[in-house]
Amino acid sequence: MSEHKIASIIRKQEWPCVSFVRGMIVFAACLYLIPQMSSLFREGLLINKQSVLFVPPVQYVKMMSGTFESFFADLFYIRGLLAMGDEIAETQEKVQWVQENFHTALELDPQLSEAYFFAGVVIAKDEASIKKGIVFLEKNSHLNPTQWRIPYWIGFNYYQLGNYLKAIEYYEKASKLPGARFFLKKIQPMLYYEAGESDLGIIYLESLLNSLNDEKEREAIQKKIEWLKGISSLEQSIAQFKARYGSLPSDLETLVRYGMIPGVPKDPFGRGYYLDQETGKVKSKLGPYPEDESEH
Amino acid sequence: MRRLLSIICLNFKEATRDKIFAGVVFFFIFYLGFCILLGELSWGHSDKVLRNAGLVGIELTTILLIIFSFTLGFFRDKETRILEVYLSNVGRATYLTGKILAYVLIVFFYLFFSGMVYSLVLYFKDAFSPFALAALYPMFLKIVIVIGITSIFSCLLSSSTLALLSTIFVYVASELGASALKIVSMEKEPVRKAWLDLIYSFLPNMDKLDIKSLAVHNQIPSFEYFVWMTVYAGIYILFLWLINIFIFQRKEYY
Repeated sequence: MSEHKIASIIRKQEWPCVSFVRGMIVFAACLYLIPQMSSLFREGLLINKQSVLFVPPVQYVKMMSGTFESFFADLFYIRGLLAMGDEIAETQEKVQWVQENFHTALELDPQLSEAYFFAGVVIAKDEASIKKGIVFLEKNSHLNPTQWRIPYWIGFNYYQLGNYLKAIEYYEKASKLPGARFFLKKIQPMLYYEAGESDLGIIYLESLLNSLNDEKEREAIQKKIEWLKGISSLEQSIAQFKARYGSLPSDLETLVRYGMIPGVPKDPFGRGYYLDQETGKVKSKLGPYPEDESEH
Repeated sequence: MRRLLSIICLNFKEATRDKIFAGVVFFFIFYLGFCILLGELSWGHSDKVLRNAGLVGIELTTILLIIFSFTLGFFRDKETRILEVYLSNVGRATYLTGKILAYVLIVFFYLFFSGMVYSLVLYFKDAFSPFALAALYPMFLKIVIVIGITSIFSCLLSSSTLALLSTIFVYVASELGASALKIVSMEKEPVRKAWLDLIYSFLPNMDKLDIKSLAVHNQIPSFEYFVWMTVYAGIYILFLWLINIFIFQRKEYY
């Protein structure tokens, strides 16, 4: 074999080795450059992309999902949950975005009842969004007409807005639906009291008392009637005092001193009634929710 | 009968040793991990989402397995001339029936084992419900119908790509047939509605063979519904089998 041939064979044998080394160098360079480029894109080369908050019309999604409708509902439900964490400067736009996703999820699968809670209650943080929460819950309540929690959440939103009579209306509606918790009935007199309608609260409680058989429950309701009656009679006497002397009494004992009541009635919940000078209302020292605070 | 059993056995072995089968199994396991993630992401309805995503995964992977494995297997038999060997020993009807039954068996075992893995995941995530497993039965019927459709296009067409695409299109059409009917009924065009009505009547009504949305909420249709579903699927499979035999008997492959 000539020298020339041997040299050529050696070159040929070297070649794959050189190629491998070159390949490795290129591979290592790629391995280094890919994460570098990625971080450059993330930090340095940001394109000002405007996010499009688009939810496809629900009827189209329904048509296109075939037998996978329920799965698409899940995806929109998850999208709604993730949207709650999105950083959107405009609060109302974010509320709208979250609600549209949950609305689509509910239309596709009405049994995703927690969607009502997230889109109607959790997302509502200020007055405008609470109102949007109410609209959302009312708009979608027809999908779950027997679900007691939906009117309860609407009532809760009205309660947050300070519209106690509307809250009572929805709590009443919720309390009549299957599976409703008893606190929905018990809480209503407190709301009548908050709304300054203690007499309506007494009427409501008396009708409730007639529908109850359980002795313990009857006892609790009777206690509440007694409590509201105390407030009601004291408020009537305060109104008479104001009509007669032109101002509010300094405290409830003043009414006794002026002979308008024989004595301050006993507060069945313990620490006694007092007159709130700012609002002119009689309040209980235990606060407005002596029994239902935890449940509410 | 022995020849039929041999064909079933050979096709079953061939398909389960195929890389498509391994790929689909791997994809399903990967997908189950994704389901767990979906469940974690859906506070409030984690159980339902986990059950639903799992069922959807089982259905889609089985359909992918069947369409690809059957079509590619059939065309491989033709191209490698194994089909000639088969047909010189067994009748055409026996060969095709054996092949279809082998895939029915594969679907049965795939659904059984994927159902078991799925149940285990649900059990460890406290989301197990026997109702979710009941949804596997209509799924089985649905996929057997898909086997019939795949077989028709494989016998009828001379290109595997065309056969694959045609099967997928018919499957999608049968999934969305009910929606198409709804759209047309909104338009109130009597001719188009009647035409679509006719097509829908002949396409497999996949919407009727599906209880996933009920099962994930721990609900189940009546026993009668199951009986009707079985009868409908049985008649449809028989119809597809007859078309298959008719085409396969007349087609010249070599």
